[in-house]
Amino acid sequence: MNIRIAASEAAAAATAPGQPVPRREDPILLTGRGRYSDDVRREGQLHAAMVRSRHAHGRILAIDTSAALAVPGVVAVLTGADLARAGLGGLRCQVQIPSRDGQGIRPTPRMALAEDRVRFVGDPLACVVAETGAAARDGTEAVQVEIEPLEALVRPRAALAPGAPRIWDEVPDNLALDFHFGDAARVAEAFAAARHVARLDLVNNRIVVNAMEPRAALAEYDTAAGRWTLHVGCQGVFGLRNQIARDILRVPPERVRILTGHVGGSFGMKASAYPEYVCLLHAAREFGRPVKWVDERSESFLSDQHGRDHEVRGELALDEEGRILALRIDVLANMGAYLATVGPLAPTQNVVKNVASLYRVPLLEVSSRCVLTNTTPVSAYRGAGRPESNYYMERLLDQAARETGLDRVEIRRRNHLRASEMPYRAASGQIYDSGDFPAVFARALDLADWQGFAARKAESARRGLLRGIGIGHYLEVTAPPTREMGGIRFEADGEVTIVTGTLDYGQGHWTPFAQVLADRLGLPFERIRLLQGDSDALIAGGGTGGSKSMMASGSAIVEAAARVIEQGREIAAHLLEAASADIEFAAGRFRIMGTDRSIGLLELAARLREGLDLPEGLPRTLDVRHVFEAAPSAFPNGCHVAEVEIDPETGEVRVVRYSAVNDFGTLINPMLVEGQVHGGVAQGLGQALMERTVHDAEGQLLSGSFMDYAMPRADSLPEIVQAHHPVPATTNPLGVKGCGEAGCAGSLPAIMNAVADALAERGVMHIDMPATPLRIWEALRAAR
Amino acid sequence: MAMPDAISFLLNGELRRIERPAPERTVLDHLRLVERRTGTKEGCAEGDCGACTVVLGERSGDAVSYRAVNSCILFTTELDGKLLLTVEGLRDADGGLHPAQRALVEHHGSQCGYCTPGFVMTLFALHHAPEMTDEDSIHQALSGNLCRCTGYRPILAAARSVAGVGDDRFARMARELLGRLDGLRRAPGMATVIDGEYGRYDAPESLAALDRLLTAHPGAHLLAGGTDLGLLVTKQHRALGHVISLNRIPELSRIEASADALIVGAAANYTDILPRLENDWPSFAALIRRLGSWQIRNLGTMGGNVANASPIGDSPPALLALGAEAIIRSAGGERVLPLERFFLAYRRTALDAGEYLRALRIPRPAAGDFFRTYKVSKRFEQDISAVCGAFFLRFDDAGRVTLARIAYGGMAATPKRAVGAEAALAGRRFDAAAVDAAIAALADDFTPIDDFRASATYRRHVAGNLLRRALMERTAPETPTGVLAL
Ligand SMILES: Cc1cc2nc3c(=O)[nH]c(=O)nc-3n(C[C@H](O)[C@H](O)[C@H](O)COP(=O)(O)OP(=O)(O)OC[C@H]3O[C@@H](n4cnc5c(N)ncnc54)[C@H](O)[C@@H]3O)c2cc1C
Ligand code: FES
Ligand code: FES
Repeated sequence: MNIRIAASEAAAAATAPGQPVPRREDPILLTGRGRYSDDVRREGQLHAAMVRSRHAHGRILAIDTSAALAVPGVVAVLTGADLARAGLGGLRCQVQIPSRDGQGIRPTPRMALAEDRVRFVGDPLACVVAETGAAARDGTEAVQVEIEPLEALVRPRAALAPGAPRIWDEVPDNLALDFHFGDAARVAEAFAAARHVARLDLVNNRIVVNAMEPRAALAEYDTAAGRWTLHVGCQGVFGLRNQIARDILRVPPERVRILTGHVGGSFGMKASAYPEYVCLLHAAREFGRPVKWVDERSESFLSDQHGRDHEVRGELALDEEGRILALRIDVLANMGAYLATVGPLAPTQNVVKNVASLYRVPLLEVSSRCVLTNTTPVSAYRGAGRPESNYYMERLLDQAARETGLDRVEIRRRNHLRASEMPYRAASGQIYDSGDFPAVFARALDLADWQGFAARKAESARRGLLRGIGIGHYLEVTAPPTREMGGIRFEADGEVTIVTGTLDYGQGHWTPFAQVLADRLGLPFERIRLLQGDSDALIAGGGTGGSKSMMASGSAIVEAAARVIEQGREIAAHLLEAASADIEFAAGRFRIMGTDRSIGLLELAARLREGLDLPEGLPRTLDVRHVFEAAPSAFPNGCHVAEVEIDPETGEVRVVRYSAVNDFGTLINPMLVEGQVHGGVAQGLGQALMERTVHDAEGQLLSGSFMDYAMPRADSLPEIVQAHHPVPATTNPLGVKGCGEAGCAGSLPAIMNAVADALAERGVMHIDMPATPLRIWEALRAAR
Repeated sequence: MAMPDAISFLLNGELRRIERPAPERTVLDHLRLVERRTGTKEGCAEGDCGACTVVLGERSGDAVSYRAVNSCILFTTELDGKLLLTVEGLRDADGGLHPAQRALVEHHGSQCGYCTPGFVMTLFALHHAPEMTDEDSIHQALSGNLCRCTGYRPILAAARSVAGVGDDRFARMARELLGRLDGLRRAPGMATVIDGEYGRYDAPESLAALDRLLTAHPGAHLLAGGTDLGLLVTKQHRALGHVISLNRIPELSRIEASADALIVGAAANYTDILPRLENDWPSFAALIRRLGSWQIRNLGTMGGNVANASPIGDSPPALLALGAEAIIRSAGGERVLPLERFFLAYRRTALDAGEYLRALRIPRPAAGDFFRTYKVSKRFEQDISAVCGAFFLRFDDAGRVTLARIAYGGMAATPKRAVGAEAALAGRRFDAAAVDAAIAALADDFTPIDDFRASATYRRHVAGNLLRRALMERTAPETPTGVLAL
């Protein structure tokens, strides 16, 4: 008896919050039993393939589908006119942001299939539906499209130039949003009074997201019930269902079900509704058969929303001691041809919230122009404005240090906010609840052996290499956790299901969520399942994004677990014949205090299933469908330090040392948290050094394959040494802060500051992302 | 006698027979659409990402060799007689994870899991590669698998823990597997011919049979590793019509060393060629180790690289500089052509109708010969070159250059010798002044193109720099990697 208790206690300790518990889904994914969108197939399914514009900008003169319809196996060719006739709506930008003139965002009413104009290479024009995938593809080649080319605008500056053609008749000057934050006059005064002003023009380069799983979807329509089911990878089924029902199908949400299995990466990109889904939903109803579509990589380079793409001027006003007086940021953001789901958020409000970072910045001004161009729409990519904002600040501080002769470490120390100042109201209006930035900073410098750098640099020099070290200190304002469901279901097979509306695409939510629930309810960890991808099961769901899942679902689970205990206590009191006030709950059992009379939670659930004769007024079930109401953002922060070596002959750059100290608040599963940091650092490294999205003057994407678009491979990454300095958040019951995007936030500035540091000794004054060997080589040559 | 028009192989140990396979059906499509085994993933269908990685097992002496390959560009016809392993087939009978799978769990090497089956299979092959336990080999093994989530370090840790261990159940049942593989062998003379609604496929078993076939069907596509040909199907959706596989003719996969030359059969793959290059031309070996990825090197052939005649193929510059010859064969007999006369124009070769490349003859170096080849690309691993250069120099006793052969890829429409630069070096000491003269001469040798990979200026500059690098290594020798990132 005692031994059994000891064993279950040991098991509970091994999976308790804070333990690096291996992931529940791994055995499934590692043996090929994952179920991704392309793995779904239905008897009798049709296949769809898209006809896409080859012109970046043009007027559609004619779409002739007759030859395509003659291709054996082709069932139909849909065009914009068909969708319009069916009364389908368009793809709306889902954020509202005030503009300088108070009008808000100028909408770009995008229909799933272009009707009169094409606006980027890859813009869908028609959808071929056929018996097989091959027939659908053959069909696309037979569709004759006549387009009168119009001048293509690739860069925002060209799109804003006087006399530039309009991409949308509704949007004068191609300026979709003119955003402003801050007191321009006071900021100008501070700059006028400043002892020193550091100024930098920086490029936040466009990223092709390239989740390893291409997008795919399958739509079904149940004629009898008048209901659609869409199998698709996304970041939250509840929100996507609502958007599709409201904006596109224009039906009550109950008539749509979104089912998501495993998602092979997303990073923001798969969160949106996409034109292909609209076509599939329409075709499924029209033809009464399931319709499936799978993207090819060459198409996904064009059709998946891209990330980043801002040109920024940053200015920092300092007093004689190097203290920040004011910060001014001017962003020119390339939105692409249509405003994507959350496109305008990253370059505007997310810059405001994040750019001052963990420093004392009394005055802040941010002006952002969100400009339409003839390129693939741009939306969220890991961090969505957060990492870039930290990047601007850290580059500016290094620039200021170089120009004023202040030490890079010292200038940061002088401007740090202190733990004693928490909670702190920043110029952005955000209230930082917790954090100890000087401590994080000191630990990071220690971990990186900052002191030993000079010796390492000398050693590199002996090998003919330039060596640099860089700091990437960051603070991120996560998305505020929105309304989220905390559902707990006691299943007939004795398992317990968590039902929640966040949705992981690689983060591994199942395990930490189960760790929390197991801890709260004293349940065996391995009995807990997670249901996250079925909109029918949800009564709320904010989805995943902005590093908020553990906060949102974690809090929802904590509150729901408390309700389970409340319900259970009353039932247990009845069964144990005691007053509910005398029942305590511990280690998964309800017990009459001070006695050995008790009943286990799962036992109680089983008894309820068998049927208990309960008096009026007692709960009938332990199941809970709880909704956690919104909470404020959290403020994960940290400091990364990178060291690079550059071969001046070829410009080749390698990150040779990397260390990171992070404050993610309470850690539920440090192994998964560190995995998120690894992945984020890799993506940051890719953006900083490799990933270059190139369009020609006509708007054709030149870097449109893995061969031409360099993503990091295994040998691109250094060993990443991590340490944690957790200061629990006060804004949510678990004290967690969110870690999904932080890796990018630390790595962009750390790596680029290291590159700039290495090049400075050769007189290179400026370097932009991506710092490819070619660009470094050219900068070195120009500085000679 | 009726020709067999089916192929047989073992799928995760179970016998499979495909009647009249479509010649262009890829193994990936077969697995996902016909077998409905969806564990193997498609991430690009172009050989770039490794999500589709599977392992081929075949007899190699007294053992089964296991090689990771890209199923997205491999045709099912080439499975004939082999063991095909996929991610679904590695677990023990009792359901326990394979060591490669377990290592990925323990090191948290999987996040979204989409790249994971491919990594599992690469790690499986690495598990069975006793010679690949050092850090560099492990990096090479992982070079063909992309992951967007994990940042790779956890996968690398998992790979280190399994490399070369080779003690799984497959090792324990090697004898049984060999027996079953032998059982799939065709009786001699039973060459595969598939003539179906989708086109025709032949897998002749002798050079003579190939000669006859090519005479009768000069327009057929020859298939070696298929790493170039496969892309025509998966990327350009081209129908090939008639395919003749070179993979059943033992002579074509043979690599023979004589006293004065290495003769590389046109269908020998890079993985098999590599150890034979190591001794004579370590710089060439270093370059080949970075060609494509592990998966690509397991399939791709030097013969295919040369026959494909791309201006940015990696082996032609080295072969040109080494003075290699193409041994060309047809029903009419054989002829031997110096390689510089093989490349005629952009993607055009000297092969006439009915002719094929039988082998490459690479002269072995004499004592004192100097040879280097370098590739410059966007990234160290798995990338096509922007510029590739190769330098061969022979000296007299006084240290003067008696023979210089310099060749570049990426500088013209074909891989090409730099005759002006060669002349500038001839008769001189190989020193800075001579190199400057040679670099000046390069301007007349080439008018490189401008594209988004690299500007003409950069190409020209780098071409010269590579020669400088060769000089540096001549004077201060160190082990070069041969691949530089752009
Ligand atoms: C992901 C990826 C990465 C790559 N990376 C590189 C790289 O880094 N460097 C590089 O140089 N190449 C690279 N390649 C290209 C390719 O792998 C090489 O060119 C390879 O050597 C081709 O050999 P193969 O046997 O696969 O050729 P196949 O595809 O079988 O054949 C190529 C062409 O040659 C013809 N052919 C083949 N053998 C003969 C013969 N004996 N006689 C006459 N014609 C013949 C075929 O009909 C075909 O037209 C890459 C390819 C991929 C998919
Ligand atoms: S699917 Fe990408 S390499 Fe095969
Ligand atoms: S785990 Fe997602 S791509 Fe590797």
